[in-house]
Amino acid sequence: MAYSILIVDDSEIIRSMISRTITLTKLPVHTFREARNGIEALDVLNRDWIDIVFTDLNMPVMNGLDLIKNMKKTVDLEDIPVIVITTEGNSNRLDELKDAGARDCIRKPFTPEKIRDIITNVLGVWDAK
Amino acid sequence: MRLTVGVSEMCISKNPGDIIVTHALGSCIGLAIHDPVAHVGGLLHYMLPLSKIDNDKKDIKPFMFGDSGIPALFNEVYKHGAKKESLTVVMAGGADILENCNYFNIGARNIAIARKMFWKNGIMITAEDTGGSKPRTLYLEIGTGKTWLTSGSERTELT
Amino acid sequence: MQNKLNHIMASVAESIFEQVAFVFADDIGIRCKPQNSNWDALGAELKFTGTINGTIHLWLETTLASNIALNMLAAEEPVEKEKAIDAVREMCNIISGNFITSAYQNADIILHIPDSLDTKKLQCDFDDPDGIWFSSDDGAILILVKEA
Repeated sequence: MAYSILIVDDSEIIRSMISRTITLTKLPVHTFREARNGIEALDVLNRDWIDIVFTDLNMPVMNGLDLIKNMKKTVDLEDIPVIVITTEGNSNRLDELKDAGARDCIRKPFTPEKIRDIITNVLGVWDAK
Repeated sequence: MRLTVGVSEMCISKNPGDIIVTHALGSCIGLAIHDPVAHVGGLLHYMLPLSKIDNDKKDIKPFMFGDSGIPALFNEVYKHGAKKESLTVVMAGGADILENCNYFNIGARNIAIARKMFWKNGIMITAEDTGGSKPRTLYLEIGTGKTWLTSGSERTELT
Repeated sequence: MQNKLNHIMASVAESIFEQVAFVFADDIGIRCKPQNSNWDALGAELKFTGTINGTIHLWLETTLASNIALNMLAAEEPVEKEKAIDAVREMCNIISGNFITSAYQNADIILHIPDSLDTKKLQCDFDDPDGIWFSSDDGAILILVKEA
Protein backbone atom coordinates (compact mmCIF):
# COMPACT_ATOMS: atom_id res chain seq x y z
CA MET A 1 0.00 0.00 0.00
CA ALA A 2 1.28 3.49 -0.82
CA TYR A 3 0.23 6.44 1.30
CA SER A 4 -0.90 9.95 0.49
CA ILE A 5 0.48 12.49 2.90
CA LEU A 6 -0.53 16.08 3.57
CA ILE A 7 2.02 18.44 5.13
CA VAL A 8 0.69 21.72 6.51
CA ASP A 9 3.10 24.48 7.56
CA ASP A 10 3.57 28.12 6.61
CA SER A 11 7.32 27.46 6.27
CA GLU A 12 8.35 25.96 2.93
CA ILE A 13 11.60 24.78 4.50
CA ILE A 14 9.78 22.83 7.20
CA ARG A 15 7.44 21.28 4.62
CA SER A 16 10.50 20.18 2.62
CA MET A 17 12.23 18.79 5.69
CA ILE A 18 9.20 16.73 6.66
CA SER A 19 8.69 15.33 3.17
CA ARG A 20 12.38 14.52 2.85
CA THR A 21 12.31 12.79 6.22
CA ILE A 22 9.30 10.71 5.25
CA THR A 23 11.03 9.74 2.00
CA LEU A 24 14.09 8.61 3.98
CA THR A 25 11.95 6.33 6.13
CA LYS A 26 11.17 4.41 2.90
CA LEU A 27 7.48 4.51 3.71
CA PRO A 28 5.77 3.81 0.38
CA VAL A 29 4.38 7.18 -0.64
CA HIS A 30 1.86 7.67 -3.40
CA THR A 31 1.76 11.46 -3.19
CA PHE A 32 2.84 14.35 -1.03
CA ARG A 33 0.46 17.28 -0.80
CA GLU A 34 1.36 20.56 0.86
CA ALA A 35 -0.61 23.42 2.35
CA ARG A 36 0.42 26.68 3.98
CA ASN A 37 -2.44 26.91 6.46
CA GLY A 38 -5.58 25.18 7.67
CA ILE A 39 -7.84 26.55 4.93
CA GLU A 40 -5.55 25.31 2.15
CA ALA A 41 -5.31 21.99 3.99
CA LEU A 42 -9.10 21.61 4.06
CA ASP A 43 -9.20 22.36 0.31
CA VAL A 44 -6.76 19.50 -0.27
CA LEU A 45 -8.62 17.17 2.10
CA ASN A 46 -11.95 17.84 0.42
CA ARG A 47 -10.45 17.13 -2.98
CA ASP A 48 -7.86 14.38 -2.54
CA TRP A 49 -7.56 11.12 -0.64
CA ILE A 50 -5.17 11.67 2.29
CA ASP A 51 -3.98 8.96 4.68
CA ILE A 52 -2.15 11.08 7.24
CA VAL A 53 -1.72 14.78 8.02
CA PHE A 54 1.29 16.50 9.54
CA THR A 55 0.46 20.01 10.66
CA ASP A 56 2.09 22.95 12.35
CA LEU A 57 0.11 24.74 15.05
CA ASN A 58 0.74 28.46 14.58
CA MET A 59 -0.16 29.41 11.03
CA PRO A 60 -1.87 32.40 9.48
CA VAL A 61 -5.47 32.23 8.15
CA MET A 62 -6.33 29.01 10.05
CA ASN A 63 -4.15 27.40 12.70
CA GLY A 64 -3.53 23.72 13.33
CA LEU A 65 -5.99 23.40 16.21
CA ASP A 66 -8.85 24.79 14.12
CA LEU A 67 -7.85 22.52 11.26
CA ILE A 68 -8.15 19.48 13.55
CA LYS A 69 -11.51 20.67 14.92
CA ASN A 70 -12.81 21.16 11.40
CA MET A 71 -11.63 17.71 10.34
CA LYS A 72 -13.30 16.09 13.33
CA LYS A 73 -16.62 17.75 12.37
CA THR A 74 -16.47 16.26 8.86
CA VAL A 75 -17.52 12.64 8.35
CA ASP A 76 -15.04 11.93 5.56
CA LEU A 77 -12.12 13.52 7.40
CA GLU A 78 -12.64 12.68 11.07
CA ASP A 79 -10.70 9.40 11.03
CA ILE A 80 -7.60 10.70 9.24
CA PRO A 81 -4.75 10.69 11.76
CA VAL A 82 -3.24 14.12 12.43
CA ILE A 83 0.25 14.60 13.83
CA VAL A 84 1.05 18.08 15.14
CA ILE A 85 4.61 19.36 14.78
CA THR A 86 5.03 22.44 16.93
CA THR A 87 7.28 24.64 19.02
CA GLU A 88 4.52 24.73 21.64
CA GLY A 89 5.65 23.46 25.03
CA ASN A 90 2.75 24.34 27.30
CA SER A 91 1.26 21.07 28.56
CA ASN A 92 -2.30 22.45 28.71
CA ARG A 93 -2.20 23.46 25.08
CA LEU A 94 -0.68 20.14 24.07
CA ASP A 95 -3.46 18.36 25.98
CA GLU A 96 -5.96 20.57 24.16
CA LEU A 97 -4.58 19.30 20.87
CA LYS A 98 -4.95 15.67 21.93
CA ASP A 99 -8.47 16.34 23.25
CA ALA A 100 -9.36 17.95 19.93
CA GLY A 101 -8.27 14.76 18.19
CA ALA A 102 -4.56 15.03 17.34
CA ARG A 103 -3.07 11.54 17.27
CA ASP A 104 0.31 12.74 18.49
CA CYS A 105 2.46 15.86 18.91
CA ILE A 106 6.14 16.32 18.10
CA ARG A 107 8.05 19.28 19.37
CA LYS A 108 10.46 21.19 17.18
CA PRO A 109 13.34 20.57 16.84
CA PHE A 110 12.51 17.07 15.63
CA THR A 111 14.82 14.34 14.42
CA PRO A 112 14.07 12.23 11.33
CA GLU A 113 14.02 9.18 13.59
CA LYS A 114 11.25 10.70 15.71
CA ILE A 115 9.12 11.22 12.60
CA ARG A 116 9.81 7.62 11.57
CA ASP A 117 8.79 6.33 15.02
CA ILE A 118 5.55 8.33 14.99
CA ILE A 119 4.63 7.09 11.50
CA THR A 120 5.34 3.52 12.62
CA ASN A 121 3.03 3.98 15.61
CA VAL A 122 0.26 5.43 13.51
CA LEU A 123 0.47 3.47 10.27
CA GLY A 124 2.20 0.30 11.45
CA VAL A 125 5.48 -1.23 10.30
CA TRP A 126 6.32 -1.32 6.60
CA ASP A 127 8.94 -3.18 4.58
CA ALA A 128 11.76 -0.68 4.19
CA LYS A 129 13.73 -2.80 1.71
CA MET B 1 37.79 -12.67 17.31
CA ARG B 2 37.43 -9.48 19.34
CA LEU B 3 38.73 -6.35 17.59
CA THR B 4 39.20 -3.25 19.71
CA VAL B 5 38.84 0.24 18.26
CA GLY B 6 40.62 2.92 20.26
CA VAL B 7 40.01 6.65 20.34
CA SER B 8 40.37 8.19 16.85
CA GLU B 9 40.40 4.76 15.24
CA MET B 10 38.23 2.80 12.86
CA CYS B 11 37.93 -0.87 12.00
CA ILE B 12 36.15 -2.85 9.29
CA SER B 13 35.52 -6.56 9.17
CA LYS B 14 33.93 -9.14 6.87
CA ASN B 15 34.69 -12.00 9.24
CA PRO B 16 31.41 -13.32 10.73
CA GLY B 17 33.25 -14.47 13.82
CA ASP B 18 34.43 -10.97 14.72
CA ILE B 19 33.05 -8.65 17.38
CA ILE B 20 34.28 -5.05 17.13
CA VAL B 21 34.27 -3.08 20.37
CA THR B 22 35.14 0.42 21.41
CA HIS B 23 35.43 1.46 25.04
CA ALA B 24 35.11 4.62 27.09
CA LEU B 25 32.75 6.60 24.89
CA GLY B 26 32.33 9.78 26.90
CA SER B 27 31.80 12.83 24.76
CA CYS B 28 33.21 10.82 21.84
CA ILE B 29 30.93 9.08 19.36
CA GLY B 30 30.99 5.39 18.51
CA LEU B 31 29.42 4.73 15.13
CA ALA B 32 28.68 1.15 14.08
CA ILE B 33 27.42 0.38 10.58
CA HIS B 34 26.59 -3.02 9.10
CA ASP B 35 25.33 -4.42 5.82
CA PRO B 36 23.63 -7.80 6.41
CA VAL B 37 23.61 -8.55 2.66
CA ALA B 38 27.30 -7.88 1.99
CA HIS B 39 28.21 -9.20 5.46
CA VAL B 40 30.49 -6.30 6.25
CA GLY B 41 30.55 -3.94 9.19
CA GLY B 42 32.64 -1.19 10.67
CA LEU B 43 33.03 0.84 13.81
CA LEU B 44 34.43 4.35 14.20
CA HIS B 45 35.35 6.15 17.44
CA TYR B 46 35.79 9.88 16.92
CA MET B 47 36.62 12.58 19.43
CA LEU B 48 35.87 15.93 17.89
CA PRO B 49 33.34 17.20 15.38
CA LEU B 50 35.32 19.34 12.94
CA SER B 51 38.73 18.75 11.41
CA LYS B 52 39.20 22.43 10.52
CA ILE B 53 40.72 22.99 13.97
CA ASP B 54 43.80 21.00 12.91
CA ASN B 55 44.18 20.18 9.23
CA ASP B 56 47.53 18.49 9.80
CA LYS B 57 45.99 16.14 12.32
CA LYS B 58 43.15 15.44 9.89
CA ASP B 59 45.64 14.02 7.38
CA ILE B 60 47.42 11.85 9.95
CA LYS B 61 44.41 10.96 12.08
CA PRO B 62 41.27 11.30 9.98
CA PHE B 63 39.25 9.22 12.45
CA MET B 64 39.76 11.78 15.19
CA PHE B 65 37.09 14.02 13.64
CA GLY B 66 33.49 13.37 12.74
CA ASP B 67 33.55 15.26 9.45
CA SER B 68 36.51 13.26 8.13
CA GLY B 69 35.99 9.97 9.98
CA ILE B 70 32.37 9.38 9.06
CA PRO B 71 32.88 9.58 5.27
CA ALA B 72 35.98 7.38 5.65
CA LEU B 73 33.98 4.74 7.53
CA PHE B 74 31.19 4.68 4.95
CA ASN B 75 33.58 4.69 1.99
CA GLU B 76 35.51 1.79 3.45
CA VAL B 77 32.44 -0.42 3.89
CA TYR B 78 31.24 0.54 0.40
CA LYS B 79 34.61 -0.63 -0.95
CA HIS B 80 33.86 -4.00 0.64
CA GLY B 81 30.52 -4.32 -1.10
CA ALA B 82 28.12 -2.60 1.29
CA LYS B 83 25.18 -0.64 -0.12
CA LYS B 84 23.78 2.48 1.52
CA GLU B 85 20.19 1.23 1.36
CA SER B 86 21.10 -1.96 3.26
CA LEU B 87 23.06 -0.38 6.09
CA THR B 88 22.04 -0.33 9.72
CA VAL B 89 23.54 2.66 11.51
CA VAL B 90 24.01 2.77 15.26
CA MET B 91 25.32 5.75 17.20
CA ALA B 92 26.43 5.86 20.83
CA GLY B 93 28.17 8.38 23.08
CA GLY B 94 28.12 12.16 22.90
CA ALA B 95 27.79 12.46 26.66
CA ASP B 96 28.27 15.64 28.63
CA ILE B 97 31.50 14.88 30.43
CA LEU B 98 32.70 17.35 33.06
CA GLU B 99 36.36 17.31 32.08
CA ASN B 100 35.37 18.81 28.73
CA CYS B 101 34.04 21.95 30.36
CA ASN B 102 36.58 24.05 28.45
CA TYR B 103 34.93 23.18 25.14
CA PHE B 104 31.56 24.13 23.70
CA ASN B 105 29.49 21.07 24.61
CA ILE B 106 31.67 18.67 22.66
CA GLY B 107 29.33 15.70 23.19
CA ALA B 108 26.36 17.56 21.70
CA ARG B 109 28.47 18.82 18.80
CA ASN B 110 29.78 15.37 18.07
CA ILE B 111 26.18 14.21 17.81
CA ALA B 112 25.28 17.22 15.66
CA ILE B 113 28.03 16.64 13.10
CA ALA B 114 26.92 13.02 12.66
CA ARG B 115 23.29 14.13 12.23
CA LYS B 116 24.34 16.78 9.72
CA MET B 117 26.22 14.24 7.59
CA PHE B 118 23.42 11.70 7.80
CA TRP B 119 20.79 14.29 6.88
CA LYS B 120 22.82 15.54 3.92
CA ASN B 121 23.51 12.01 2.68
CA GLY B 122 20.03 10.61 3.22
CA ILE B 123 20.88 8.19 6.04
CA MET B 124 18.57 7.29 8.91
CA ILE B 125 19.90 6.19 12.27
CA THR B 126 18.63 2.70 13.11
CA ALA B 127 19.29 2.98 16.84
CA GLU B 128 21.10 5.33 19.18
CA ASP B 129 22.02 5.77 22.79
CA THR B 130 23.49 9.25 23.14
CA GLY B 131 23.74 12.23 25.45
CA GLY B 132 23.34 12.12 29.19
CA SER B 133 26.48 11.78 31.28
CA LYS B 134 27.27 8.07 31.36
CA PRO B 135 30.29 6.44 29.73
CA ARG B 136 29.53 3.72 27.19
CA THR B 137 31.17 0.75 25.48
CA LEU B 138 29.76 -0.17 22.06
CA TYR B 139 29.84 -3.61 20.44
CA LEU B 140 29.15 -4.75 16.87
CA GLU B 141 28.86 -8.45 16.02
CA ILE B 142 29.79 -8.86 12.35
CA GLY B 143 28.06 -12.22 11.78
CA THR B 144 24.64 -10.99 12.88
CA GLY B 145 24.90 -7.18 12.74
CA LYS B 146 23.76 -7.06 16.35
CA THR B 147 24.88 -4.06 18.38
CA TRP B 148 24.75 -3.50 22.08
CA LEU B 149 26.34 -1.26 24.64
CA THR B 150 27.38 -1.54 28.22
CA SER B 151 27.64 1.16 30.84
CA GLY B 152 28.83 -0.06 34.19
CA SER B 153 26.96 -3.29 34.80
CA GLU B 154 24.08 -2.33 32.51
CA ARG B 155 23.72 -3.85 29.07
CA THR B 156 21.42 -2.37 26.41
CA GLU B 157 20.59 -4.17 23.16
CA LEU B 158 20.45 -1.67 20.31
CA THR B 159 19.82 -3.78 17.20
CA MET C 1 16.54 39.93 35.12
CA GLN C 2 17.78 40.73 31.60
CA ASN C 3 21.03 38.93 32.39
CA LYS C 4 19.09 35.82 33.39
CA LEU C 5 16.98 35.94 30.22
CA ASN C 6 20.10 36.42 28.12
CA HIS C 7 21.85 33.52 29.78
CA ILE C 8 18.91 31.20 29.10
CA MET C 9 18.54 32.47 25.54
CA ALA C 10 22.25 32.00 24.78
CA SER C 11 22.12 28.40 25.92
CA VAL C 12 18.88 27.60 24.07
CA ALA C 13 19.97 29.34 20.88
CA GLU C 14 23.33 27.60 20.78
CA SER C 15 21.63 24.23 21.13
CA ILE C 16 18.99 24.96 18.47
CA PHE C 17 21.59 26.21 16.00
CA GLU C 18 23.45 22.92 16.44
CA GLN C 19 20.43 20.66 16.25
CA VAL C 20 18.41 22.32 13.49
CA ALA C 21 20.87 24.32 11.40
CA PHE C 22 24.00 22.24 12.10
CA VAL C 23 25.81 25.50 12.88
CA PHE C 24 28.27 25.74 15.72
CA ALA C 25 28.75 29.00 17.59
CA ASP C 26 32.50 29.58 17.77
CA ASP C 27 32.20 32.30 20.35
CA ILE C 28 29.62 34.23 22.30
CA GLY C 29 29.83 37.83 23.48
CA ILE C 30 30.22 41.43 22.43
CA ARG C 31 33.56 40.62 20.74
CA CYS C 32 31.51 38.73 18.11
CA LYS C 33 29.76 41.94 17.06
CA PRO C 34 30.79 42.98 13.54
CA GLN C 35 32.92 46.12 13.31
CA ASN C 36 30.92 47.41 10.41
CA SER C 37 27.50 48.72 11.37
CA ASN C 38 26.40 48.19 7.73
CA TRP C 39 26.02 44.57 8.62
CA ASP C 40 24.32 42.52 5.88
CA ALA C 41 21.74 40.57 7.86
CA LEU C 42 18.23 39.15 7.66
CA GLY C 43 15.96 39.36 10.68
CA ALA C 44 12.80 37.92 12.16
CA GLU C 45 10.65 38.88 15.11
CA LEU C 46 8.40 36.77 17.31
CA LYS C 47 6.05 38.26 19.88
CA PHE C 48 4.75 36.33 22.85
CA THR C 49 1.80 37.21 25.04
CA GLY C 50 0.09 35.83 28.09
CA THR C 51 1.20 35.82 31.71
CA ILE C 52 4.38 37.41 30.38
CA ASN C 53 4.62 39.51 27.24
CA GLY C 54 7.73 40.03 25.19
CA THR C 55 9.54 40.06 21.89
CA ILE C 56 12.40 38.09 20.41
CA HIS C 57 14.48 39.34 17.50
CA LEU C 58 16.87 37.14 15.57
CA TRP C 59 19.33 38.53 13.03
CA LEU C 60 21.54 36.28 10.92
CA GLU C 61 24.30 37.42 8.60
CA THR C 62 22.85 36.87 5.14
CA THR C 63 25.48 34.32 4.07
CA LEU C 64 24.82 32.39 7.27
CA ALA C 65 21.06 32.46 6.68
CA SER C 66 21.58 31.07 3.18
CA ASN C 67 23.83 28.31 4.49
CA ILE C 68 21.34 27.43 7.18
CA ALA C 69 18.64 27.09 4.54
CA LEU C 70 21.02 24.87 2.54
CA ASN C 71 21.68 22.69 5.59
CA MET C 72 18.01 22.37 6.51
CA LEU C 73 17.06 21.46 2.96
CA ALA C 74 20.12 19.20 2.50
CA ALA C 75 20.54 21.10 -0.75
CA GLU C 76 23.69 21.20 -2.85
CA GLU C 77 23.11 24.38 -4.82
CA PRO C 78 22.73 27.91 -3.47
CA VAL C 79 19.18 28.77 -2.44
CA GLU C 80 17.18 31.84 -3.41
CA LYS C 81 16.81 34.68 -0.91
CA GLU C 82 13.22 33.72 -0.08
CA LYS C 83 14.44 30.44 1.42
CA ALA C 84 17.07 32.27 3.50
CA ILE C 85 14.33 34.56 4.81
CA ASP C 86 12.16 31.50 5.58
CA ALA C 87 15.10 29.94 7.43
CA VAL C 88 15.53 33.01 9.65
CA ARG C 89 11.82 33.04 10.49
CA GLU C 90 11.76 29.35 11.29
CA MET C 91 14.92 29.51 13.40
CA CYS C 92 13.34 32.43 15.29
CA ASN C 93 10.23 30.29 15.76
CA ILE C 94 12.04 27.24 17.09
CA ILE C 95 14.45 29.20 19.29
CA SER C 96 11.58 31.22 20.74
CA GLY C 97 9.43 28.18 21.52
CA ASN C 98 12.26 26.46 23.33
CA PHE C 99 13.30 29.67 25.09
CA ILE C 100 9.76 30.19 26.44
CA THR C 101 9.74 26.67 27.89
CA SER C 102 13.18 27.07 29.44
CA ALA C 103 12.60 30.56 30.83
CA TYR C 104 8.98 30.33 31.93
CA GLN C 105 8.36 26.59 32.20
CA ASN C 106 4.63 25.89 31.82
CA ALA C 107 3.41 29.49 32.02
CA ASP C 108 0.39 30.34 29.89
CA ILE C 109 2.17 32.10 27.04
CA ILE C 110 1.13 32.20 23.40
CA LEU C 111 3.75 32.41 20.69
CA HIS C 112 2.69 34.45 17.71
CA ILE C 113 3.66 33.75 14.14
CA PRO C 114 7.16 35.05 13.35
CA ASP C 115 7.50 37.97 10.94
CA SER C 116 10.41 39.10 8.87
CA LEU C 117 12.08 42.25 10.16
CA ASP C 118 12.73 45.26 7.96
CA THR C 119 16.45 46.00 7.79
CA LYS C 120 15.60 49.54 8.93
CA LYS C 121 15.16 48.00 12.38
CA LEU C 122 18.65 46.50 12.32
CA GLN C 123 20.52 49.63 13.39
CA CYS C 124 18.54 49.92 16.59
CA ASP C 125 19.06 46.26 17.49
CA PHE C 126 22.71 46.41 16.40
CA ASP C 127 23.41 49.09 19.02
CA ASP C 128 21.28 47.55 21.77
CA PRO C 129 23.50 46.76 24.77
CA ASP C 130 21.24 43.80 25.65
CA GLY C 131 21.98 42.04 22.37
CA ILE C 132 23.46 38.55 22.49
CA TRP C 133 26.14 38.10 19.85
CA PHE C 134 27.47 34.82 18.47
CA SER C 135 30.09 34.17 15.83
CA SER C 136 30.10 31.19 13.52
CA ASP C 137 32.03 30.11 10.44
CA ASP C 138 29.54 31.73 8.10
CA GLY C 139 28.81 34.91 9.99
CA ALA C 140 27.50 36.62 13.05
CA ILE C 141 24.23 36.12 14.90
CA LEU C 142 22.38 38.66 17.01
CA ILE C 143 19.51 37.79 19.33
CA LEU C 144 17.48 40.13 21.50
CA VAL C 145 14.90 39.04 24.02
CA LYS C 146 12.86 41.66 25.81
CA GLU C 147 10.00 41.42 28.24
CA ALA C 148 7.36 44.08 27.76
